[in-house]
Amino acid sequence: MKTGDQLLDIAFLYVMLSFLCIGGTIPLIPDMHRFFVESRGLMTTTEFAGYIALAQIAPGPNILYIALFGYHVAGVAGALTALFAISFVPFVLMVIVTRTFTRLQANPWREIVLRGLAPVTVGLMFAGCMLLMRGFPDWRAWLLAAISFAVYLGTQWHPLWMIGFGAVAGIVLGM
Amino acid sequence: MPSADSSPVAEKAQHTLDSYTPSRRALFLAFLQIGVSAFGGALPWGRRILVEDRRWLTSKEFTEIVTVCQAVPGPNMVNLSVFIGTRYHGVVGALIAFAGIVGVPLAILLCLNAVYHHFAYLPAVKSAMTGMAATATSYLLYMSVKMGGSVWKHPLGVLLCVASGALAFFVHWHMALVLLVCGAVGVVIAKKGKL
Repeated sequence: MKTGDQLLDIAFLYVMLSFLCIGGTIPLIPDMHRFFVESRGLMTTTEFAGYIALAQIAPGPNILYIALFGYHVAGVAGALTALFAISFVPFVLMVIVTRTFTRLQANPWREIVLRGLAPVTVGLMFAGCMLLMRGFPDWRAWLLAAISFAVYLGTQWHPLWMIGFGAVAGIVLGM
Repeated sequence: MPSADSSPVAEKAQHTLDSYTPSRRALFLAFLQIGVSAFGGALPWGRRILVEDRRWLTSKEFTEIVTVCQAVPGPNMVNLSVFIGTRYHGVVGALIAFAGIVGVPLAILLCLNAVYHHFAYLPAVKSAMTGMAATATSYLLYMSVKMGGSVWKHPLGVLLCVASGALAFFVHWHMALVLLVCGAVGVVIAKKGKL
């Protein structure tokens, strides 16, 4: 595929997904995985998960891994295309919403819809996590994931510590 | 997480959304600061910088704005920057705030990515990345559990959550279909007060 076509392909994917982006971008992971790994074959699950990890150790809003997927396919142009495509529709919607803020805030349906959607977005997040875990190379990755999950749950430590621990443990275990 | 410090801040006046308009430059710098200090979720930093440091909004206003941002499709931080930018300086303000929060972190991340790819052939770098991916994935899992919040207290909520996850993972439904079908069920349950 030519670069121009790939950029359009990515732009189309993210503009579509941006309409569905309720409760963060993590619920979008199953659809992104389907696109980049399963359908287009542009990267492996390990690379896909690696980009998400890389974005977490860097500062910034955690949507930036979306830019890395774009970068992987088409360089800087791909990164910018992905980022602008996921942001464009929300940008326009928010400019409109800002002007009708008080009305939306008072609308009782807002609360009901959000409550109703919460279990669905969380379910989609789980599906995304399971996709990434299915890509784990062996039992050592599962062990690391289990240890760090227990730490996230049981302590107030900053997640960066455990992600750093994952890097060190990966080297020590020769994963 | 940051500790509560910087006592001189306490003497600054508390503004509200309508009582004070920061300059475009100040707006850009505030969102730039949120962008570069945000590790692992930007919302807590948004609150710290906009409410506690700059005192542009009250804590209550911030929470209300975040709830509205969550009701509109889009990444939360993009929505928040657009909301606040628009409120102060219209569409130009929204662009300024968005550029502030995304620009520098994007440059940092692309550099980091370049460094990673430059050394990716080393076995140690590959091992470190695999290990990091494992712990980062379990952080996403932890975030999902935490985001569930009150969902876990309602049996129907748990059921709907499991069903949505299973339809996406096992049955390979597209997200749009999951949101449409399960979301509709969820809204009906919520309307009846069971969620």
